[in-house]
Amino acid sequence: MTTQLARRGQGDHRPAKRHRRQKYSAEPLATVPDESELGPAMLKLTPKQRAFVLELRHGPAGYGSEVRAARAAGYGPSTDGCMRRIAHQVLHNSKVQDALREVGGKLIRAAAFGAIRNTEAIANDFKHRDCLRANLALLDRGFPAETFHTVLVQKTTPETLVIASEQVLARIAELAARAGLDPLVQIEAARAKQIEGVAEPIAD
Amino acid sequence: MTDNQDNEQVLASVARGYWYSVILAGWAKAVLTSQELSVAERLEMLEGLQNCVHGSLTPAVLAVVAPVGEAVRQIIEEALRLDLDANSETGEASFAVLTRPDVFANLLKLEPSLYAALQLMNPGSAPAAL
Repeated sequence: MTTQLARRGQGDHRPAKRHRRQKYSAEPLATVPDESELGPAMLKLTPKQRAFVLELRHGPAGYGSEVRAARAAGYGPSTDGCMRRIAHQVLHNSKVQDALREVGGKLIRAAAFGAIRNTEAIANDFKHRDCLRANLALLDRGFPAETFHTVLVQKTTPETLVIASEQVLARIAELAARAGLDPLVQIEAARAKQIEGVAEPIAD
Repeated sequence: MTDNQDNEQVLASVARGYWYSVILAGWAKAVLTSQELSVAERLEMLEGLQNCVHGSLTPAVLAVVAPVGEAVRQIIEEALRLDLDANSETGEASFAVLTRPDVFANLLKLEPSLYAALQLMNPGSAPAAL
């Protein structure tokens, strides 16, 4: 502001060039752990890319966060425009995207515990407008509505030969009656398919 | 309460696993009454029908299910063929198709005895036309 006034005092009425204040410090916030602790997607990255992913995870979100992560990861030093391009290139690298998904998934799973605690707090606060919704959400996850369907798979060899003996026919009649089918029709059908023939001894 | 509401109430009160069991029972009865089977196949099919009896699917409910007609039988056999194509032994593919609410509603229209069986499983509901 003082520079601007001084320039005006000297008769220079050009509008002052706008400088966006640097939003975030480029100081590294994350330390890259040992390779044994990294997931498969992170292992495929270069050390700088790994640092970039972790800086994005630990650093602030919003405008300028990618450039900050790139600077903190050791890319540059360079002009702002160049850093934006570098950050864009690194961020859109497919391996980096995979690693972000890997790290993000772990973050979501870890944050889930916090979400449960928050939901529980809302559920216990009877004056909260989402109290009922939180209770229903907890109830739904604690005791979800379930239906059970048992599938019994029976395997029998197609070559099984069953003779229509009196016992077998009696069983067919019993089962047919229980199932609401006409037992006589079922017995007749079974008899009709019985193999008929006379065994003859073969002479040597 | 309208007929549609009654139907929906009956369907909502019976688990989908039972829908599938009732469909297969009707199909098995159709095969038993219309197809030439060996004694072993007939016995196996009747034993399978008996194994359907569990929970709400009582012998009385099973007795109410009539052999399905030719059209329904073809629909069911097409669905069962999906299991063969998918090499599935658990019947997931046919289950997914046959118990889809719109498909099942059409099967009930074609084969009213299936609906009667479901009503018997849910005695609280009033009889309603489809």
